[in-house]
Parts: sequence; structure tokens; C-alpha cells
Amino acid sequence: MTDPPIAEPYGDDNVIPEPGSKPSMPRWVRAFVIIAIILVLAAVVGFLTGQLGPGGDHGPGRHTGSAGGPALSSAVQPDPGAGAAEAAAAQGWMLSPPRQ
Amino acid sequence: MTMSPGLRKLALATHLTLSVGWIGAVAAYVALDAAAATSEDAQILRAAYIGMELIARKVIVPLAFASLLTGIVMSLGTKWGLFRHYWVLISFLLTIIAIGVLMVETQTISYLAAVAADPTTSAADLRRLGNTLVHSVGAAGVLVVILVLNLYKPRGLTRYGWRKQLSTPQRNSKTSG
Repeated sequence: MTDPPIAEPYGDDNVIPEPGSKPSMPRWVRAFVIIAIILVLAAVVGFLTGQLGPGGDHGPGRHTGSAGGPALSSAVQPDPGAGAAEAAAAQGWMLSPPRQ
Repeated sequence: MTMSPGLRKLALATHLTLSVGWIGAVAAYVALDAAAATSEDAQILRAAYIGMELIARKVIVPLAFASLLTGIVMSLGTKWGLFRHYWVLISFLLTIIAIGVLMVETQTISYLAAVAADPTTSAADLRRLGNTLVHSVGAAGVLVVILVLNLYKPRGLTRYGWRKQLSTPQRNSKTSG
């Protein structure tokens, strides 16, 4: 058994280019690149408008617990029946609240 | 450097297993992510976030790197090459991008899981944690695109592949009949 033959490798039209001429980019690659550019631009617009940035709905800095901080309010009320540690954690929103 | 047929079969089986496993793991992750996005139940939210981290760190990340590694081995060990054909090159680039986003996103997932695992986290805070659906569904889409490219192997030589083909003697010229 051998490797499958790589048939018709010269692009959509399967035209063998003249010696010295460069092969043209296939149509499917062009379409792929255009779609990729559109998606990247959409992401950039999302970052610029704040939807995808650290302060937006999602993004790398959303839940890192650093400056971006979690999307949790500092006035979160603890569940009914929560103990003192829970209340303290809820008020200050600490990543690692002190344990008893 | 071309692999022997037996070795190529083994490498292909390994690569397919790891790659399809990666897609399956992402599908399981999306299910938990969707639960985290829609559920109001604190126990479900805790379980979902913790499960998301386990799947991401213990399954998706290892499978992603293993799939990338076996893919590189497959491309370099066969006539396809890594930079000769557009479908291989695009698959490679998409895999690199997917892994990059995954590694950044894993930090977010770990944070979500840590908060969810903390028994002092209130139900209200759990509901505000959010989700990673945009990334997980996007990752699933990218992986499916890579899978389709690898199955259909659309034609198209890169300039590098074209030069390499010109520099090597043609053995597969077709004869009529």
C-alpha cells in the first residue's frame, strides 16, 4: 500500500502552470481568507466596543481576578443561613476567603 | 522522509483518534457550558464549572497538543508536507490558533471552577459568573472546519509546494486509458 496519489494539485481549474509562472490561489482559499478577515474584523470591533474586552461579556481578562475583576458585585448578599465567613466573603468578594 | 505504509497507517489511526476525541471532548464541554449559561440551580452551576475545568485541563488540552503533534508527524512523514498544500497549511494554522485561545481560556475556566468550588460562594454569585459559550462553540466550529478540510483535502498548492513539485521529478503523470 502506498500513499494516496496527490491528484490534480494545480488548483481549481487543474491547469498546470507554465514554467516560471506562479500558481494562482484556489477560489476556496480566497473565500476562506475573506471569511477569516471578516471574523477578525468583527472581533476587533467587539473589542473596541467593549463587548469582547476585559470589561465586556467575555475575554481573557474577564475572570482572572485581577484588575478586570469578576463580574460580581461587592454588594452580593449571602444566601439565607450563610455563616459569618460567607458573609465576609460575599461583602469583599475574595478569591480565597479566610477559612475558619 | 516518507513513512512506511504500516507506520503511516498507525500514525493516521492515532491522529484520527486524538483529533476526533478532541472534538468529542469539546462537545461534552459545550454541554456543561450551556448548563452554566442557562441553569439557575446553584448545585448544577457548581458541578458544571468544576466539570468544565476537569474536561478542559485533563482532556481537551492534552488531546489538543497530541493532535497537533501527530498532525505534524503525519504531514512531514507523508507526501502532503506541512506547507505544500493549502488545506494542510490552513488546518495547521487553525489548530495553532485554537490551541492558543484554549490556553488563554483555560485560565478563565480555572478561575470559574475555583469560585464555584468555594463553598462560601453564594448562589447569586454563581449565577453571575457567566460562561465561555462563545469560545467553546467557536472552538467546535473551528475543529469541524479542520475535520472537513482533512476529509475533503481540497486542491491547491502553495507557492512553496509548487516550487518543491517543480524541483522533484514527476512520477505520477497520467496516461490515457
